[in-house]
Amino acid sequence: MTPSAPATPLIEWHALLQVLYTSVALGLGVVVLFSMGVYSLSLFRRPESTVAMRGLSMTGMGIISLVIAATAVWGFLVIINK
Amino acid sequence: MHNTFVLVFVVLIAVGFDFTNGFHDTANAVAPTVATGALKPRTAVILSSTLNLVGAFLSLKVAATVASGIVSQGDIIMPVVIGGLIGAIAWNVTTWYFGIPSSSSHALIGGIVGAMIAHAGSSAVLWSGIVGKVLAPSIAAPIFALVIAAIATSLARRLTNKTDNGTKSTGMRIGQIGSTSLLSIAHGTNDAQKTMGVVTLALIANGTLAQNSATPKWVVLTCGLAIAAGTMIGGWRIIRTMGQGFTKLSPTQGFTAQITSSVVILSSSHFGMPLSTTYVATGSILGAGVGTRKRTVRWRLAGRVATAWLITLPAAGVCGALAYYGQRAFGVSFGVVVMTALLICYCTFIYLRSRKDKINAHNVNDRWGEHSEAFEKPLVKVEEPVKV
Repeated sequence: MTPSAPATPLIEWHALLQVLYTSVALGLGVVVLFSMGVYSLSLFRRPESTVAMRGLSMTGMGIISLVIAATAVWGFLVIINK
Repeated sequence: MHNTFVLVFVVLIAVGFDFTNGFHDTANAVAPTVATGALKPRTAVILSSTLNLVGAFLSLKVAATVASGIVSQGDIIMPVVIGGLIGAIAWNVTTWYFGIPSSSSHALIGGIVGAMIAHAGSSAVLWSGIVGKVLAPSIAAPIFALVIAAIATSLARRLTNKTDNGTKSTGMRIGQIGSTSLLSIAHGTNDAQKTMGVVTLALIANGTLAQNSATPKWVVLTCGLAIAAGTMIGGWRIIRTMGQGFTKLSPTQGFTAQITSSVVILSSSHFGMPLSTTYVATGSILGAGVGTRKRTVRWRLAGRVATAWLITLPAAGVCGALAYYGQRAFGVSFGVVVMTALLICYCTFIYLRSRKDKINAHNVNDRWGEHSEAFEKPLVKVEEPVKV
């Protein structure tokens, strides 16, 4: 007697939950980072900002831009590897 | 089967479906961008159209199967495919007239299921596939998108409340252009391939191509161009519903709605659980409305759109079944000509009706209620957003 193969579930809850977790993490992550980037740009543009504050804003914007670019590249790879 | 005459009609109808798919789904990628003024309407549509064409060439890992896991593959014959395509086009054109964002993929599945029931009975339909691959994701997609977009909008609002308005608007609009681009490429890759699959299947069934053949280059080019041309036409009626109807979008809301749509669609592709782009985009826009301080959303309109989603499968199914019976009544070769002629008449009728209240790039952003808003007619002329 051979063991029967596990039945395929009607609804793939596991895949749906994975989509949910990933979307929450990525969606909120990108929005938070982008909003911080916009805030940094706003600080950089303020006339009263000191040189140090401007340097910090620029660094923040650079890091955030890199992370968002990496996310966009991931999205592009998902599209072409479909 | 060797019937070049029917094959030519299958290819033409499939390309016609691809075209309707293009203009029906333009709104998914560009509606918030157009509504917030991130891009001019015509520019947004041209960008989306170009990237849809690029997307069609990016990946060709298409399985030459139609509605795989939904109907018994062994029972698929050419009149079923033709019936399915005609049903899907008829439903797409109808929902476009009413400005309802509904899923073109579900219309195609509904059309094929209807034609299949007419051909081989309900036993040829894999109902577990309908529940697992169509119904469950249809319910999950807008809910996921709505919740994520609402939280994202709320966070973005709080994080940028000390940012000057000029920088905030410009930054968010630039972000919108990026997410519109990603969504357009994803749409071109996803949806153009569906039609490529249909055409390839028809070529194999006709004996023109050998089993397991790769999709010919002319099929890729034709389908890519058809979806791009459809997108270029711009489904302005649906863009208006999504951009102006559900809520009044600010650049921040537009950005969070589009980022949410992008990540949900890409994540679902990554995990092999494809969700409807239309349902995700609609949920994201509603979520962006819920995430604001005033929470202004036209829920009555959202309810009407959800009702249309519920009837998409059965309505396209009825159209598909009628198209199948029509072919049988007249014989396959003559029947396909008659059904195509009827489809063209119906599309022309809908187009002429739509001319009475034309929505285009110039008036797409008019205040909601200033046009007939066809399915809003029973209500008061201007329905203000309600506070929840």
